[in-house]
Amino acid sequence: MMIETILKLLLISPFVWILLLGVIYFTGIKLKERYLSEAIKYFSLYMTVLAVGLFILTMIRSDTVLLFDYKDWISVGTYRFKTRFVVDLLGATYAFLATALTGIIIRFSRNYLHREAGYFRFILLISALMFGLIIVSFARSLDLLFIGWEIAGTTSVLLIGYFYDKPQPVVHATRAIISYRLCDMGILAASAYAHHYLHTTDFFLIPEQVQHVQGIGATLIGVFIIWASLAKAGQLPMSSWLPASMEGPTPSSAIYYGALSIHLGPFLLLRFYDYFRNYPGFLVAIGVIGGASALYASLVGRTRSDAKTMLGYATISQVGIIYVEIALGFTSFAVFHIVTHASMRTYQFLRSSSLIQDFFENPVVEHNKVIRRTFPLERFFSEEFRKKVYVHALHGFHLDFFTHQFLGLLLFPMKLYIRWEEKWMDYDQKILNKLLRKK
Amino acid sequence: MENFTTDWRKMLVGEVKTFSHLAPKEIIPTLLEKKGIPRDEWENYLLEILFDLKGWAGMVNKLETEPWQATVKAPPVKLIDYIAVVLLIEWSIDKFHSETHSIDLALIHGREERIELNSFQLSIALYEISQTFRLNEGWMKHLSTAELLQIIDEVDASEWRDKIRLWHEAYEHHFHREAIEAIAGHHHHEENQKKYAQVLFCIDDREESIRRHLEEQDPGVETFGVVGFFAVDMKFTSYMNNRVIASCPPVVTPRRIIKEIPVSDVETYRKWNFLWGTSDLNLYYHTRTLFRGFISTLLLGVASVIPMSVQVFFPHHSRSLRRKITKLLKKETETAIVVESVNEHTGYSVPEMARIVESVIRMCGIRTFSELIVVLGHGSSSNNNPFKQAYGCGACGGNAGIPNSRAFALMANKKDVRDELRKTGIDIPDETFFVSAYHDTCTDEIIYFNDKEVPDHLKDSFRRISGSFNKASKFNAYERCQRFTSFSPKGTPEDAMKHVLERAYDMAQPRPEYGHSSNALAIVGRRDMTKGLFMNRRAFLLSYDWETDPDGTVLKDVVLGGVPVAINTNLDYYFSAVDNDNFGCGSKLPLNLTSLLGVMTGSQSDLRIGLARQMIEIHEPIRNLTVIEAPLARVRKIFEEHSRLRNLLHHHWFRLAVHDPETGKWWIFTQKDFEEIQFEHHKFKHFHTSLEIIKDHVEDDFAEIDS
Repeated sequence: MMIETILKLLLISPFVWILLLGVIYFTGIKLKERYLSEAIKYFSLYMTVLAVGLFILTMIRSDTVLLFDYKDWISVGTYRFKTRFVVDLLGATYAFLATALTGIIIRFSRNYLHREAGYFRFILLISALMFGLIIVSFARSLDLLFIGWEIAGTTSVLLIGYFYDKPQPVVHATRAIISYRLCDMGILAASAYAHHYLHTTDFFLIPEQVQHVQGIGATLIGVFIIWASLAKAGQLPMSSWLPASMEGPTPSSAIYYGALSIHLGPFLLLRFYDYFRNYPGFLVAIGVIGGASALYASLVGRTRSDAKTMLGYATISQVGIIYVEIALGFTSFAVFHIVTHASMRTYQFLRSSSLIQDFFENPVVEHNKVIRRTFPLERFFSEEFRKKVYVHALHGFHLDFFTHQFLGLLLFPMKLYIRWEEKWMDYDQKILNKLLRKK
Repeated sequence: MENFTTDWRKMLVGEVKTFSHLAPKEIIPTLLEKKGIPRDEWENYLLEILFDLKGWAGMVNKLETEPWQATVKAPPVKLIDYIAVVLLIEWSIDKFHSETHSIDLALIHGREERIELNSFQLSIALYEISQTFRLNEGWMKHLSTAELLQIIDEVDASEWRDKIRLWHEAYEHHFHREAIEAIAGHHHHEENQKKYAQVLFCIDDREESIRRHLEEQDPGVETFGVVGFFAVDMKFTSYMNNRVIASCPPVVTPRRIIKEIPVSDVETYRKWNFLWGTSDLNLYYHTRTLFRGFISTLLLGVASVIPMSVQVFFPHHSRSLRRKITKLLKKETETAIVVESVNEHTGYSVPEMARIVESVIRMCGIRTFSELIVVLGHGSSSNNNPFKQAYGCGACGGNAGIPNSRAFALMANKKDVRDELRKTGIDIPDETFFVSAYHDTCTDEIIYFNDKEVPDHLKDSFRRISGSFNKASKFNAYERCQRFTSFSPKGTPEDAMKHVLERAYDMAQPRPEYGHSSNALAIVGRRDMTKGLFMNRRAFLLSYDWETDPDGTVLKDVVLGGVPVAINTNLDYYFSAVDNDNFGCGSKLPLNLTSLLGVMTGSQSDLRIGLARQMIEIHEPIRNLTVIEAPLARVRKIFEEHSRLRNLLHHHWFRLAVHDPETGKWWIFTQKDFEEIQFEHHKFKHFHTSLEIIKDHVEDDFAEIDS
């Protein structure tokens, strides 16, 4: 019972909190920075305590999975979309990680974003992220998970475009949202197929149902789920947007691309692990994608010289390894890897500005010290070959080019639509001008 | 345009092949000629090219001239190669465009009139015209080039620039006027009591406040302002590593290497340093690679929560914790500085040392020596801050002034040096002792280096001065905290001390201190001129005694050594504040460290120059006003002889006012020459102590303190 109360609190409090912030935002009340930072401090502390409590309680009874059914979300005719939550170790761990790291980020931002005009916006978005992640952690069906998934994606895009008065952040935010959208279609498609063929999107019912159903529909769900996980996790072929999106304030880069948003990919796969177990082909695919991404990111990361992009690629390569772990069936190990990796990357992102100082004060480093990152496997290849590989790595193996071509094809109808809309706007303007002149 | 990048790249590869047999020196003129740029425009054109990516161009230049300043070994670069590469890329883009759109390149580059605006400003100007006159996009097509240029000239010459200029000059004039009135109207009555201690401060504007507090707390102290490297130009090598640091103003080329050596427990420190250094480096690399990253993530990932939480939640404890750990591990090593010359590159000979000490004493104009002379270098602590050097001592190349202060005290305490000095007429009494000390402008702590060597008969004096310093630095912290909005208005000086400490060690703090923000003055003259005048940390204070310098040679040293430092600092802040996106580096929040050399914004940008928005947000962009107390003829002579200074003055990069103590008249340099100042006699508020001003939150820049 206690678990259920905590779960309810965890779900409802951030919702109320965001609603409150939203009301303040839209009524135009100027909240003093000091009060806001105090309030968010206590709120994040409260959330962390709840999540820790839930985590400990779940640890104690780790073998049981608690399922909660609430009123139907939507019902269409006789068909019901159910509001179902689950508290298991995976969800509780992720919620714990999410609240704890967000707490650290919020405390960090208190000084880092001090006197910043967008502080309120930042707090609102980070709170929304927390809410989204908690939904994702405890959602039991794909439909419900999608809400949290979308919140995380949208806030991520808005934080990349935090400095929206500069062109660069807006460009990269657009790239990010296109990548997200493309992959989010995967979840929608998967849930549509699941509803159609299996009559449920419950993670715990799908693996069973699948065994009774024949046909391509059930298999396609897996394809779409893997596809859906790629953008958030920055795995191939959706890798190039992530390192380019370090445009927001450092703490937001840390929390999204070092810690929480990026691990949503593996989280989704872990939720569907029981389903994938029925199809060894999918596991192979996950392993191949992860391995290729890890190798790709590691090679490209070697050619990068700036702190955040380098960290972005390093993160992709570790997440690639987590994919491989999932494919090999080491699920608990993958969860541990997620936790440890998220913690370390957050720290590294936050400290990324101190690299010059660190190197300058390091007794081993000198002004004539050659810094070279070696690759243990390098010596097996000839220098000619290595040079060629690294030249291509410098261009990110032309991934941008291919994705642009692909997106260009996909977005062609959109382009037509925009042109058409512009014409309409011109027309509107003309009519408006005429009206104005008459007056 | 679909395949612009790839097609253009092919073009570039072809061009690189055709030019590959030429040296950069030949490529540049060839390309410039091919582009059809007139020969007399070459210099301007190349300058424009360098300004396109001014951050990287500047860094390439710096790495070429001073490669030993780099953090790690940078690949050898030359500015000429850089220009050649940029030109070649530009040429191939031009060629690509001319071939796809059949435009004659020579027509574009070779036209007679030169447009002053760059393409961005140009497009803005044209956009504004379109907006104002409600023209649709096609209007430009029907204009000839001459007509277009005429329009641009009109925009260029429109009156808003004049208006802004007028406003700005009024803004500056208001402050300059007030400053001159305050200094001219200020009279300090010194009762001739004996001074037991003299303190040599840096000229830095941040030292103005602590200097004032020290004098208020302890009337037995006399203070001087001298350029913070104390005339010891050196390449300094710390005992920690073999890195060479130029600890002198950037315009000076350091002559000698000065080494710091460990005195106690050499082997342990070496072992621990090596261990710490390599593990730090390995941690850096092996968390970013594939397999090793995997292993280190698993082993250390969760553990990193501990340092992260401590540093984020308890910043001030993180320092004491770190200190305890270092003490446990490797014990603090005692070090010594070696100033004696070993060979021609290392250290100074006795006559050289004597000359250094002499020059500082003459610049300060010290007539009688107290028993204790404190040489106070300064620097700044901060954490996770790529701008650390901007907070350091400007006269020490952005480093801490510790080695300079230590070396100077060591030299001045030497018996040989004092004997040598007696020959030149400077008689430092044998009982006088030079203490080397360090002021951290961020945490407001004072550290002494040779306090153990203070002779017994001076122990009491030393205790007294360190006590006064403690009080002064507390009040200084309190004064500084008034500018921080996160400091409670009800806070006490003790809270302030804690607050500044927290700022320095906070990983998340983009404003460890406000640096030189609000600097606007440089005052060259005796301390009597400004002692007891509250100047709100806005003035560089340079000591100069016109009476002890009949021929003006010392004035030349003081002005040439100190005034450019003040002007450079001022202009750095000025431009960063006026146009933060172009001459500053924008907000600190999205900065991304690159190549261990500098910062860029986000994931793609030029290397950013200047100061971040958070560093200049309280700065008032006012050009420097330099006030010199010396006979007008002497000042005039210096500015006539030195073209660099003359250029700065005549082109109004700073304003110059002169107080002629012989005639008592005040002069200000206007358009072409000095004009006498007519005073209006402002009334300034009177207070008893600086603390009163701070507590009352008085917003005046100048106030009288009558003790």
